[in-house]
Amino acid sequence: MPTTDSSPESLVQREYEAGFVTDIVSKNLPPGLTEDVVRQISAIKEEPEWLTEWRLDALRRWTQMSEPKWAHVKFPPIDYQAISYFSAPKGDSPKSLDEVDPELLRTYEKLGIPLHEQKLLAGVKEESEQPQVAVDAIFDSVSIATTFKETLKDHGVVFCSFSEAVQNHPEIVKKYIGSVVPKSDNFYAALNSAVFSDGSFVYVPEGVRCPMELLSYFRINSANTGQFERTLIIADKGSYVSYLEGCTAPMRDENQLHAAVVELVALDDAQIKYSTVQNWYPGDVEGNGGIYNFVTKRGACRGDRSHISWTQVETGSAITWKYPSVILRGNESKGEFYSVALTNNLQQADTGTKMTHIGRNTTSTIVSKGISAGGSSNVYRGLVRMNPGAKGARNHTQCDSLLIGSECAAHTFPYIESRRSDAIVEHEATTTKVSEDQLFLCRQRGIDPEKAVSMIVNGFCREVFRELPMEFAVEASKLLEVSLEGAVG
Amino acid sequence: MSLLEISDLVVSVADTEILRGIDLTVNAGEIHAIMGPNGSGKSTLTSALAGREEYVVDSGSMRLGEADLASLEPEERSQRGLFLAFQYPVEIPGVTNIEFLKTALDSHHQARGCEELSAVDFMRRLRELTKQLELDPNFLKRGVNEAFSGGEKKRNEILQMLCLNPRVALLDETDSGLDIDALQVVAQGINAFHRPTNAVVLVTHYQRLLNYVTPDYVHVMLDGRIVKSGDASLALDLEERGYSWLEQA
Amino acid sequence: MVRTHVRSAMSSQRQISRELSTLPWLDLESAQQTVQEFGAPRFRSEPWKYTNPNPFVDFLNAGEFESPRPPSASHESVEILAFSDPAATWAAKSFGTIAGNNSSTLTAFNLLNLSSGFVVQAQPAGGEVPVLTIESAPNSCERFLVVVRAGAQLEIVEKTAGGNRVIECLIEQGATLVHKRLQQPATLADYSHVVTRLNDNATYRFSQSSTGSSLRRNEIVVEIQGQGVNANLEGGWRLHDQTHLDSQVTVNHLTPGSESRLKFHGVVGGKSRAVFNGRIHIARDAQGTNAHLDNKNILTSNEAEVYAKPELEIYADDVKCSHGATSGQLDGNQIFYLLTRGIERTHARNLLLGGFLREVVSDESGARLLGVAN
Repeated sequence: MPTTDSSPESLVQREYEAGFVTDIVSKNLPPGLTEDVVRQISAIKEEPEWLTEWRLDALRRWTQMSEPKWAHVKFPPIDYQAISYFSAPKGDSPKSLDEVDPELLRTYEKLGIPLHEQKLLAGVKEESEQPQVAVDAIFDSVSIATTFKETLKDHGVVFCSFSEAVQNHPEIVKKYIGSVVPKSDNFYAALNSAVFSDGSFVYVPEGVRCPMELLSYFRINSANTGQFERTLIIADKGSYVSYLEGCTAPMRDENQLHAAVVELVALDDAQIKYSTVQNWYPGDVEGNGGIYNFVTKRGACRGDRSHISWTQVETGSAITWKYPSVILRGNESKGEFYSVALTNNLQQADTGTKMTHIGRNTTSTIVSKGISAGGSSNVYRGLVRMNPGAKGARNHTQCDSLLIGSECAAHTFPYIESRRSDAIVEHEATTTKVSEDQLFLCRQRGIDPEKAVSMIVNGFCREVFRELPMEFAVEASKLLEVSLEGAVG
Repeated sequence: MSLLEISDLVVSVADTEILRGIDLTVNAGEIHAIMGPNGSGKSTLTSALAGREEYVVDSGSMRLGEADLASLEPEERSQRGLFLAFQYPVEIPGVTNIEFLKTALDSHHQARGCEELSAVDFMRRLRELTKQLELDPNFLKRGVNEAFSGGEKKRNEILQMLCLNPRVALLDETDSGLDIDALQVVAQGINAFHRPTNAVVLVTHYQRLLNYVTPDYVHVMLDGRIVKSGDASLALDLEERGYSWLEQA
Repeated sequence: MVRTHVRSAMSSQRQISRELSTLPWLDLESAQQTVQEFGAPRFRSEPWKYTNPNPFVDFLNAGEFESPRPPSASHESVEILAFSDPAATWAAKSFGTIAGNNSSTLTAFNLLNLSSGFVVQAQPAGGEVPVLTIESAPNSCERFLVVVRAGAQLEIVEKTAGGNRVIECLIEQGATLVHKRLQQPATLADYSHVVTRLNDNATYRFSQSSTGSSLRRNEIVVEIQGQGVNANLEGGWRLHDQTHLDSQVTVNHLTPGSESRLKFHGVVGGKSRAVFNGRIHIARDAQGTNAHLDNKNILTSNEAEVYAKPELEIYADDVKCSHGATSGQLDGNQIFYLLTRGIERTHARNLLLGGFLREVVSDESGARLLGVAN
């Protein structure tokens, strides 16, 4: 008999392809977090005084808060004074792509992110008729380029770095910042509010359908820095925007903190589709290094019939702590959460969503697919709340776990709170494994075990991948294959 | 040269010997039927041939053409032309039949170093086959065996066989659980597949499939051995007399 | 310590009778330590997210319990002894090892305030399944240890209407325990903690019917420590007015190859509040487990509230697990169907609610208690 071990768990260890370091001189603030540091960040960004004060207020609140302990994750204490809160490539901020350091351009080329407007996302064939993608490239603490600005401007769409928005659209920023995620919402959100560096800003005016996908690509490069981006997306009445977010980091032995805040606001009849493919460095097989991804993402369906959908594919990070949520205030508004979270080796994920139904006839859909392999831990944590005014509201939640190997763990903690008799909440969850029988059927048909497992896992995730824009769906599916390498063998 | 050559094969499962020395030669163009009561070792034989891990070959040999099956991984056996229609086909939720078959077929073509079938040709072939097997066209977009009826699962096995076009097809109780119409469809599929260059081994404990697919040889298995071989008339004898007269022999 | 406000009386064993306090196997000392270490449960902490624990503590502190009503059995194969009975010392082997006085403050505090305690053991016997009746006084603090010996069968009929009780059950190899609990309306806080441990091939069938009470908490823990175990837990509740019912159900699969099924349905009306926390925990060793949890709630008033959390905690891969939870109202299509058959609306609703509750309350007395008897 052949002797190779073909149990699903032994099939998962490829390299983390985005793990290279860009050799570039950076200017960093020294490690540590004080009022002075916050003032310096604000000064570097030439921010108005109200924003400096806003940050300082957040810092004061943060010092009064403690890290949340309820998540099903374990990690040694983080020394917040050992982190550098600002890092940017040296030199004046580039006015155009020609001024960008060629080393940086090569970085994005290697990652397959097009910074030239005629190019498309890597992997998409040139001749195909895919819509173009506008990119905001964020490197450590700063945005280095945003493409297709002019085209978007013609449609009235603002897509720029957060810092630019503070300069050019202060009234909108002031109106909405912290309105969805208050600065003292939680420990990490407060930290972000004090020290946030850059991020993306999107404003889609009334009645406009954004003509292309918007992509923000986040890259952590410097050692011992955290990334604290802040993204704000406003979809005015009747508008539509599809926003994509990707992220990678070099392989380093130390853990790095990524504490972002994302706020979405959808007014009457507006729709925001927010897709994430999260591929931060997950650490090595022994659990050394990797990103702590502690992120607060929340959308507010303020207007009637507004619609926010989150789609996430989480394959990276040593620890993921993330609950993209929707507050359904507008009547007949709609919230969606589609998630694939894959953990391997010693990764830990505690992720899920909160759907808060306030308006009448609001609906929400949650589809969560958790895949645990190796010695990892994968948690779905969700809250569906029906407030007394949520007449006729509905929620459906489907939450499935797939286990690969006997050393991993999968947990489901769904909270249902209903205070409305005609609101309907339905929650279902299942747990399965990649069975030997499924593997054997595939092999009997000539498919090798690795391909078989990735096919089975992709099948398990199909409902979620369907929600991703084309370019991302392909990447996500490939990423699963990479992340699973070594999980089966 | 024979397509499948099994000699003195001894197989055990969890340290219990199930097959106690099987000899079987299957030549191109032949149809063999293996019959026998439950527990006689019929399914153990097909599982060992296909390479299920828990079926341990203690001694003897299994050859597919030139190849020593025991030294090959299950997928390599498949790629070299061994097909097993499962008695209980497993479900693979979310993986569509199209995707599954395309992946399987591409793996076969890659292993043989020939070009992959174009998507257009592949789909054309699949549509022909679904029609031939009287399957709903939407069938192809559904998950592999997901929420299939018993009959659909069996027809799906035949569809996969026709699509992968193996040299030797082992059909493990493919007739069980089928109504008479489905049985005829499956039989037509087997007859359409069978050519002078390939061979079919039917494992069954009823005569009824053999009314539609005529075997050249019938073998009777009892207690891990082939105790009697003959032509198609042996199956009729068994139908009439059962297996007990063989036990006494 | 800043940890919590340990209520003053919690560190003293003011209530327990002198007779009981001298029994060494009760191990009051470790219960004392637990109370001191953990303090009183805190409102809004995870296990008490939706229910205020203070009234339960206050109830015990208020003291003045009624004299005990001893349980009774229908057959002599069931032995019932008071804790103070010299023959009860066999209990030393099992007592407290199941309920875990060392980890939960309320069970430890129960022990420190005991007004009565009984040990029960059922031996194998032919004929009808013997019935043990436990009818607690509304104002009591009690403790039971029930052991169903290998191969034996026992049925418990338990009626509660207030008070504080902890029941430890051990179901030995191949034994069966049927546990029916009827919960009548109560004005005093009603706290029950049942822990059942099952050995190889043991069976536990638990069914519970609960009416509204000002404040009621049921903690049900099943520990599966054997193969081929079958645990089936069902419960129904029908709440009105300003009542509050909190059900905390946990099944711990510690060993391979067992099955558990949990099914709880509730009708929640008036200004009442139903809390349900169902937890299936599957340990690394518990391969081949089959576990299912289902909780459905129907709200019949817009002032009623439902808080449900069906949890899965899984550390083994070869398992079949699922859970489901719903909250909503009666299905309009079903009502309409009945209307078209000439049944008037109120009646139609009652029919449907009855069917919904009878799915989980199969015994006659339970159905009567909830007003849904056929």
